[in-house]
Amino acid sequence: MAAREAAIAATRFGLGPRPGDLAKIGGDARGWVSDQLNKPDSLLSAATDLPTSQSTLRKIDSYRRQRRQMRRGEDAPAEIDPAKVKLFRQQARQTYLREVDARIRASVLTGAPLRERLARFWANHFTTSATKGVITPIIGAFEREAIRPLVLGRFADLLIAAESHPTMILYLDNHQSFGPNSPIGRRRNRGLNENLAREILELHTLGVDGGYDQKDVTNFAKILTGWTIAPERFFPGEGGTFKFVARMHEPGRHRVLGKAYAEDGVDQPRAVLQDLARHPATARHIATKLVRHFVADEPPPGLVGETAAVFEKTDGDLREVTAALLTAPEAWAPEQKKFKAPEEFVLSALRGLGLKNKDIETDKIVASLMLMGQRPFAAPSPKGWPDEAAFWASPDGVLRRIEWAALLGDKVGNLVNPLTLLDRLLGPLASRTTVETVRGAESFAQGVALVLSSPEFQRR
Amino acid sequence: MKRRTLIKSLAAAPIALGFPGRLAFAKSANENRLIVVILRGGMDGLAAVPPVGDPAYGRGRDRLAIAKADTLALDGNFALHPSLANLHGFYETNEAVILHAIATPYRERSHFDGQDLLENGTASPKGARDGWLARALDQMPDAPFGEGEAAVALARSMPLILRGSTAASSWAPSAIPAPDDDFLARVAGLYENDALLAGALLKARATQAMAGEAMAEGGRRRFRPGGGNRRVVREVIKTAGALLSSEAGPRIGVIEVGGWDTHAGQGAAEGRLANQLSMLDEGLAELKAALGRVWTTTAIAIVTEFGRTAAENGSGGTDHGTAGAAFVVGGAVNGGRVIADWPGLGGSDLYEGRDLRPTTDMRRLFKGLLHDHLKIPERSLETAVFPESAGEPPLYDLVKV
Repeated sequence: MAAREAAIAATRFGLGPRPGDLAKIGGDARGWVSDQLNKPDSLLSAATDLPTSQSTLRKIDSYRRQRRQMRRGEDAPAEIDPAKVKLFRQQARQTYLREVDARIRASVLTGAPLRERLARFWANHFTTSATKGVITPIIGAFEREAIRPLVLGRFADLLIAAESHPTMILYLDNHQSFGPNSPIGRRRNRGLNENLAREILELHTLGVDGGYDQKDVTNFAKILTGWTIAPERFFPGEGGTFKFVARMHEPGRHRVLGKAYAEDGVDQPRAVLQDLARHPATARHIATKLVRHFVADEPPPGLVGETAAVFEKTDGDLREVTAALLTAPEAWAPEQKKFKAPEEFVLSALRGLGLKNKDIETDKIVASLMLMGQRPFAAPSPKGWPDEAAFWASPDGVLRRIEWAALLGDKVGNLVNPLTLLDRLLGPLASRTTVETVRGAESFAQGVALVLSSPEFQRR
Repeated sequence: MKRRTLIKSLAAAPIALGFPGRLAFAKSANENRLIVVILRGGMDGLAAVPPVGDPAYGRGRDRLAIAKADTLALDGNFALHPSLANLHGFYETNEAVILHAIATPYRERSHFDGQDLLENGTASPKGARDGWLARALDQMPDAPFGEGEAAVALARSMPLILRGSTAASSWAPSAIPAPDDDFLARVAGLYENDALLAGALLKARATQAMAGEAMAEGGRRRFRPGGGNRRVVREVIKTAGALLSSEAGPRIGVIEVGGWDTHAGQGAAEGRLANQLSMLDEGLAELKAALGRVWTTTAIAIVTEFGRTAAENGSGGTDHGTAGAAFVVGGAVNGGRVIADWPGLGGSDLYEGRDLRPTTDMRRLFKGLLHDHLKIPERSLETAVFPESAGEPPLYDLVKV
């Protein structure tokens, strides 16, 4: 029983055990979970050598300014020097890869994997994506700056931090949304872009059936105008930071979900976000997503209700909400109901093999994840990565995992006894069929590949 | 519109065919191919198919309206975006039907709900957990298909439109070397008590073998992920063509193309949307080449979850709208026509004062193709495939019958 709970904790609420983890968790699986909720954040928030979003955005800003100046110049060449463009793109990609590298290392090595899971869950809830080119070099900073420090804080704070982060503003176009009656809107004949307003309501707070209509979207978009990123040439010293630009802001009082919000400049959107964070539909939406992520594709309605109730009662205290969910009996049910997403699958395999920092080859890991359809930081849409087996357990997806397992088995097989690995990864969760099949493998390499291909290892 | 005659439908009676080879693919007596191309993100139908005959076109689209002189003429009322030269060629050879003011029953403006509804074939986003094309497979005259599969999604994960059918598989090219058959047989043993994984593996192996054979020389194609969208689409199209034109291969394909959510900097005759359209247009020519001799029995439906606002927004783009355009292309298509019950773009004509008003239900297009092209009985279409769609009759004669 204790061994089973240790294996469940490590796989369902972590990123899979590293060698020795199951023994370490021992008889106190629940303590292992709650400890992580009460510790300071894991490795990544201390990663100080990665650039801030502000410094990267200032570089982008200055590059763009140079380009504009060159285009305007009388005797300037028609095309900007292609070598410079290439260099700029390379730098953006390098920053992205450094972020991916730091995140993969943290995930493979951490002793507090629940924190990594929560960071991913919330970064996926507030999706920004490197599928939009300009986001590529600032997406890691978004997760480190806006998400990680707040995954166990108040939901309202997390919401405001995410929506006002420059990466989100760029991803959902709010820097291009102008109040039609704002000074700039009028002078340049520019208007609203409702993308951010719609996705906040639909995806980040109330949920698509949360009871808002087109009028709410439009009015919220008006309220959000002016939330943008400071260009260095207008705001020397502040370039690349979040900025409220009153000259873009639609003046006046606007109604959202039946409530009128008085003109309050930068604080007008904050007031709406505070109310959205407290809305019962938001509690329910967040609870449903959390339960779906940690428990089952079909979230048990009772557990959703209980989790939403804790959310409402504690005014969105995410530490309380997470703790309540992860102590519920349904969360510890023996059946493995969740199918691992490719990233969870790959990371748990690397952890299981006990990879050390020097063994981690980020470029190969990224290439593998791309083949399995989950490039890091590159969710296909603002809705984020799907969280259901129906999406990930496709014929192609399953075959790619098996192929990858075969490749990895081939690479490390001679160094690991497959039966030791099986016990270390799955303990009592391994079925008789799996134990027998692995025992019958013709080589260590094949055995390791079979462990990593096993049905139990695809699930959590 | 006239109905197909009874005599013609009788002529399509099933013929038993057997195929040699390692894989026992169940064969469809019906040799027709259907490909559904899903444009994810909401293609702007008013830019792809500008209604140049409507005096209100261009109102509110200062930067986005496409000048009539730049367009490729269709029937005087409508024209094609200049980036759609191949599609225009298909129209001129009567191999393309252009549909306009068409929409699913969805009237909100969420991509995700809109796509769910487009693919689940009901009138609500959560109306079904399986896809209409998956349900249609079970209604085909020669279903069930045995151990092979009748349909393939060119995607790393299964799109909703094909979810729920055991006759569907998914496929994307891989750069990982393939493990040997002995190993795969052992994995199949591991999965014997796991229906989800066993089914997925079986289908993947069958499709893999098929793609390997179809691509010739047995060698696996190298695929470099992460390049431009255009390259990925090209690769996918080649594979789709190879699979669907192979004798024992699937008859139905699904291709997804993203990048249509043009909230900002959409452009007009040139620009971001123009690039997307030209990618699609090149893809069509490549698809025709890859399909080879089966082009004449192929119909390709190109659809999107919704159109976009009639006016441009504040950032040189368009926001989520309602009705838009769709295309049906292929050698089997009864083309050279525009099908549009045009609602007009004047202020009061617009849906909720902002979007092109829908006048044709998208399900009519799908039902027409399933009925005429895949020979699925009308009754099944109204019950099993598109439940509660009795008021939306199939659009007959989209293909030559």
